[in-house]
Amino acid sequence: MDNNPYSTDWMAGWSDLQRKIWDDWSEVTQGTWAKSFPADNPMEFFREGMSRWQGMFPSGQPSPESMAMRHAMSSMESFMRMGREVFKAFQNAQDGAKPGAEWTAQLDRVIQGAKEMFGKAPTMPSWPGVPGNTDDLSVLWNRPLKAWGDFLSTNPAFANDAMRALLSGKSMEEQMARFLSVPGLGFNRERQEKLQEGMRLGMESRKAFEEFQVFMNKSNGAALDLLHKKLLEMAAEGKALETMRDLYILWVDCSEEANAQAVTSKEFNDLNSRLMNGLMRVRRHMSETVDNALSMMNMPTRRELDSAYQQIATLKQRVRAMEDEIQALRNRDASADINTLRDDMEKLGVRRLREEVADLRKQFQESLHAAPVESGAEAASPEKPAIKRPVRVAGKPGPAQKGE
Amino acid sequence: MFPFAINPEKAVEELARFNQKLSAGIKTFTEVGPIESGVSAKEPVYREDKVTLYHYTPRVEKPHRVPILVVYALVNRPYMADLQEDRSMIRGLLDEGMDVYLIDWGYPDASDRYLGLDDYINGYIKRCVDFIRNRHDIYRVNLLGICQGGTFSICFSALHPDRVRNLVTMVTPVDFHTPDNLLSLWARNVDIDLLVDTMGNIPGDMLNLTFLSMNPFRLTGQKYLDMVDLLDEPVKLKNFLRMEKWIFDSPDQAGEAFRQFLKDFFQRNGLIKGVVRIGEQRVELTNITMPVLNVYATKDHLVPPDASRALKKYIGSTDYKEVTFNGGHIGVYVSGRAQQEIPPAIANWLKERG
Repeated sequence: MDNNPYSTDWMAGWSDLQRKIWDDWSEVTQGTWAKSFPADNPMEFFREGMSRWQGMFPSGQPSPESMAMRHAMSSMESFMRMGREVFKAFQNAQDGAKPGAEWTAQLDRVIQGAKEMFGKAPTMPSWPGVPGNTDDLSVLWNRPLKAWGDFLSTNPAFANDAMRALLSGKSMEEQMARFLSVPGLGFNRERQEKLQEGMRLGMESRKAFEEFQVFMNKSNGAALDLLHKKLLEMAAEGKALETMRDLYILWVDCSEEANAQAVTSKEFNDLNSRLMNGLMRVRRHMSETVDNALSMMNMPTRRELDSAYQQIATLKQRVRAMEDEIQALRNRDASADINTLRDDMEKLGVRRLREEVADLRKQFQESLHAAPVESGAEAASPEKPAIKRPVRVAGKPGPAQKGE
Repeated sequence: MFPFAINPEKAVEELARFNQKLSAGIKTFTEVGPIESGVSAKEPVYREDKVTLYHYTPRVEKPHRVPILVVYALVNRPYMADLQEDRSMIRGLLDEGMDVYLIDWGYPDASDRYLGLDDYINGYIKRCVDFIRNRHDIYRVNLLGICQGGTFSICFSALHPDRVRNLVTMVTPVDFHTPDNLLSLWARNVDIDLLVDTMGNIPGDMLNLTFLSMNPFRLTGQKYLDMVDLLDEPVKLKNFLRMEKWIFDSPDQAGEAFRQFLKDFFQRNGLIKGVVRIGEQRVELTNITMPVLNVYATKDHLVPPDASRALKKYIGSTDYKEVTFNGGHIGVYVSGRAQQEIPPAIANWLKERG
């Protein structure tokens, strides 16, 4: 096989593909795709595509269709990005390779280049207003983390500008460090200390996030090593990837394998819980701050609402306990009635009557066996007496009445 | 040998073809219509707060005389057990002659944050069970608990053995500290008190993301690329979207119940240690003396098989049976094979026990 298959000007082909896709989609959206083709950054197409898609579905609660399509667009963006990066990487490797260099050396360089990407300073997930690292291959690996970022940005419990500000921006961190060193003084001492505490918690949380990201980047690096290893194994076995999809699936497999190893480690467990606990501390501090402000304005606070809910819950539990008690007393009454009825039946000599009926039945059975069968099985077979179930007293169920 | 047989022309062609499929899929998407779920006929027979007890219309003339009550997890919605006509465990049970009830927990809101496990187990479940007992004039019902609902059913059976005739558990965690239990591992060092005190109820989306994080690349990426292959098949696409709807239809978790479940079960592994208290009573698994059928899935990544199989070791019942399903946590209700295997296995086991 040709060891140098990337000799054509693939970039031109790639650009043509993007343009073709752009035209297809313009047609599909019936001219509403007014923006011109972003030749300088074709990946912008997919981001544009996603917003277009979202616009095509009714606003309000996201439907399964719109969510699935959003994910599909996003996945396709990853898929296309992978295609672009793979070709670019091999093109670069080819350009830099000395004549006669083996493809294995090129592959090494590609993998090493990709791994360096994860050595960069960690970036926060791209929350609204916070610039993220959006146009390199690392986005592929950061998609799961971005999902958490999206959750935090859309959940009312986390989505507010103050929290984002606390968790982002190096310069903010430096300003905060200076601010935190100022001792509290005078009338505003308490408020200042609370503010400083909030800042401190925010910085801790940011640090926890960065450490978490560094760890996950290591896992991404391990995924690349695994990909490298599997490609070499394939080559040794004389196998080759036939399609971009095959490459994507192999990459997913490697990433999942590396991720599975990472997330079962003690280190992940520590970092993950530190991240979660840090976020919660920030959130709680902010909630308390908001509560204090509301309280000063004589408006209902979260604390007061919770207290009211707790009281309602306690009252409900008490009511139910009383209902259960009443039911138990009713059942006891029913049991007493049944016992009285049993006594009355005893007095009427029901047991003796039952014994007589049993004797008669026995005699009847014996006489049947003694007499020859005349005709018809029905005439000869004794009917099984129907078992009459006790009548249930409405509203007075009790174990003594039940038939099961 | 060079391991890439993908040349640029071929790749461009592949990606173009893929994109054409995606853009052509718009039509299918807009025509797919509403995504229904919960297909079997049912009627609400009892309501309390946000909880509804449903009775499914029997599909045989004379259903089995002891009804079966399905107790689903608080996480996600119970229509997973009745997703679509050809993927419905409930329908399978009805076809096997069972008389089926199901508890729908509804969507807790902030006013429910103080609901604890006592409210769920000694409250809602007990009153649903009593409703069925009275309605059918019987002492005991059959219980079928699914996942976390299975753990609740185990607790209920241990606390009220006089009300349970047979207990069936499906993909139910019992030993929460098996080495392969990733969820438990992740929860081990999280400050649950801080989490609940801060959040109140726990957002369903937060749990969803936790579940997705177990296979992040496959579940947030590859799955949707695979979906593109379904875009020209409306029925398959609708089935995919139905499942998608279920996955992201996640009620928030009542704060106090979440706190107790995470701390007592996930962190302390209290169920098998006999230290879980529900209300005033301790849950003693040896009180479970009724027949028990335990269904688990061999490829379950949420509730590993060993976490379920532990039940045998701790209960007092001598009539214990396991049903092994060769599949995953979701496949056990919705896969085609599960429809053939699981409902008949449960129904036959119950019929044998009267």
